[in-house]
Amino acid sequence: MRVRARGWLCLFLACGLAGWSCAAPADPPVWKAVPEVRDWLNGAEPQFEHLHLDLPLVSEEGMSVPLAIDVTSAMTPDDSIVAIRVFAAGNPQPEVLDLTLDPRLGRAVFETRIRLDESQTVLVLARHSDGRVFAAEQAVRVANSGCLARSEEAFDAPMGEPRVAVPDPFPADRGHGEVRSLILHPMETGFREGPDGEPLPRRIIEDFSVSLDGEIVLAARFHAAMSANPYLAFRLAPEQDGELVLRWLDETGEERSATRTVRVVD
Amino acid sequence: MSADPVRRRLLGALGASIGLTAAGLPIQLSAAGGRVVIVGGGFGGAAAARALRQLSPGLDVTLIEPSAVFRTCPFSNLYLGGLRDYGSLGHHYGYLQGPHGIRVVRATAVDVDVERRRVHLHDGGRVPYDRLILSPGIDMRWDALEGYDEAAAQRLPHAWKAGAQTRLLHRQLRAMDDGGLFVMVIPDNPYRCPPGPYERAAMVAHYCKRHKPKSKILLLDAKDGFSKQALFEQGWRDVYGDMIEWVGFSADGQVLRVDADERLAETAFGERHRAAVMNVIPPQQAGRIARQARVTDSSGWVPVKPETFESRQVPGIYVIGDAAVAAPMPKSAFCAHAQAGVTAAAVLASLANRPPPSPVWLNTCYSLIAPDYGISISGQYRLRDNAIAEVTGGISPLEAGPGLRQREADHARDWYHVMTTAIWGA
Repeated sequence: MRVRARGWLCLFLACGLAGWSCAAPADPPVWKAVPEVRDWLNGAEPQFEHLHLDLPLVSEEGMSVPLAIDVTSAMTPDDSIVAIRVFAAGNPQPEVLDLTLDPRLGRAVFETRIRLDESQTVLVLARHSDGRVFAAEQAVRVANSGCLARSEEAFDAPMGEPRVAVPDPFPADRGHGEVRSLILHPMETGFREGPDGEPLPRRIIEDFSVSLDGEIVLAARFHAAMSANPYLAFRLAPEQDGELVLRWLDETGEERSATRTVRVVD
Repeated sequence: MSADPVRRRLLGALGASIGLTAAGLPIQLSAAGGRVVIVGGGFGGAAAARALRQLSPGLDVTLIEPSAVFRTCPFSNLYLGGLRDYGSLGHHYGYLQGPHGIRVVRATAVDVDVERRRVHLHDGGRVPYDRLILSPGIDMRWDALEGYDEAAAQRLPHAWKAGAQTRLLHRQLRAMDDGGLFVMVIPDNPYRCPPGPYERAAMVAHYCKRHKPKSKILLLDAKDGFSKQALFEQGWRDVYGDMIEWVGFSADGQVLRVDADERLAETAFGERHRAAVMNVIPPQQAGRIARQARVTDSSGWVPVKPETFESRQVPGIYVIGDAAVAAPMPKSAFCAHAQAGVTAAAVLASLANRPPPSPVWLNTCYSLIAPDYGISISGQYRLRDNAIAEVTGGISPLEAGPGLRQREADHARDWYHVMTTAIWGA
């Protein structure tokens, strides 16, 4: 889908037409239909359990749809979720977000905001350390309202200073707390045309990582379907005081990082 | 768009108010008749009652509404700004009851017996129906924002249902010292009246500019964009300089907790804003009777069949106005009114065992930046592939002289007069 930058209203109107037609029961399940999903599953059959999604049933603004993921897991070294994938099959590219998890997160619980080009089913898969894959999916009707259409978009804004909120202190005994992160970045998708009719070059943050005392506890790959100014909230269960470093790397090579002191209740 | 889109849209608005026959009417009702009960006497419910009697003068129509006087949310921001008095927001049901032959029951509907098709009233009364139209508006979600419950709303008013809350916010603003910080907490979509918070900011600024010029208005928003944003930001700047500051989601505008005693708002990344006056517009849901009737889904709003606004979950119950999921139509008074006309026709068709007429809905949302500075957005909606689709739309131009802004402000006042007269007037 190529859209003129100033023609967002037209896109929104067109999206509204898709209506309810996305959820026809006769369609093959998304996990079978999308090649990128099949590749990642590599023969495994997902079990639709242990994973809870929270997404709006109807979104009036597809540019920023809140998504919450909660996978039931003790997150111990031999019983944990090791990877999560988010797919939006109705987007020009189905991949949205890849997460690689470490047990030190304490919980496999995330919140973010994603782009949905039209009404479609969002699929989330979670791989357990024993090889099982859990899944959940939900149809989202995108009825972009001209009333809510954004009138301006930043194109060339540089990557901004990151925002990070860390609980202070974290609870003791592997208790987990929520860490929230956000960075100002246009996340230009590469699917749009500028005012001169030329395609706007793609520019997204691809890699995000979180290290605790030098060891990576969360690694993420952001795709073009992450909303502008990508937001990611996750849990962390530090055992002792330490240092948390969050790092964002965009595909032009620009990098930002933020360091926060972690304190655990005595 | 024609040479004078504003004028064309205004005419459309007037047409929708006066001519409810736009949706393929008139319909001849069969002799069988039927009892239609409407819960909620706002822009949706009262308009539906009027439309039903207009289209089928002998029909048995009952309107259940607890208030003797309905206070409109539209123009309540103008009251906060000092442009209108409180009394001008009130409309009574005398004309509906008298000349228009609608039975108005002053009671609160507390439940719906779907099996026996009866509405239960707070005083034990039972009102039987053949078709039920719910136009219950919104309720606040008291569990959605930490620290914000009904008690907190007495100190940090939402003023998002017109009435005592509006007067409370008005009093607090009048009592604020010059130089005080007015903070507004704004929710994510969907919520009642998408441009409403931003018009309110302008109206508060209008008041402060004249009486408290050292004051500031801070908008803490859970969203990264909003309705008519470029027009609002231009208008705020042109009329009020830097008095109004908007902080969106990505600039840490999302409020996660409020403290009513301290008049404090805390954001997702830990900023704490202390206010002299704090207006908290919390997340919302369909009015209580919709939940009692089990027509709401997990979102708290009511999924409806788009051609009629009949509930997808309970046959024979139609839900219009802010409570319904009508996206891409916004939750506006104008939309509630447009839905009332279409749904009245659909209800009559259903009673006569005919298919519903093909619907068309219109909407225009006017917002005032200043008494002589109006902006608007409008849309026309039809069915496409069994869903509501926006087929045309228009928005005030960014480049415009004072003449157009003045005309749009006049149109806003005309709209309010025409709409409230068509619904509650003689």
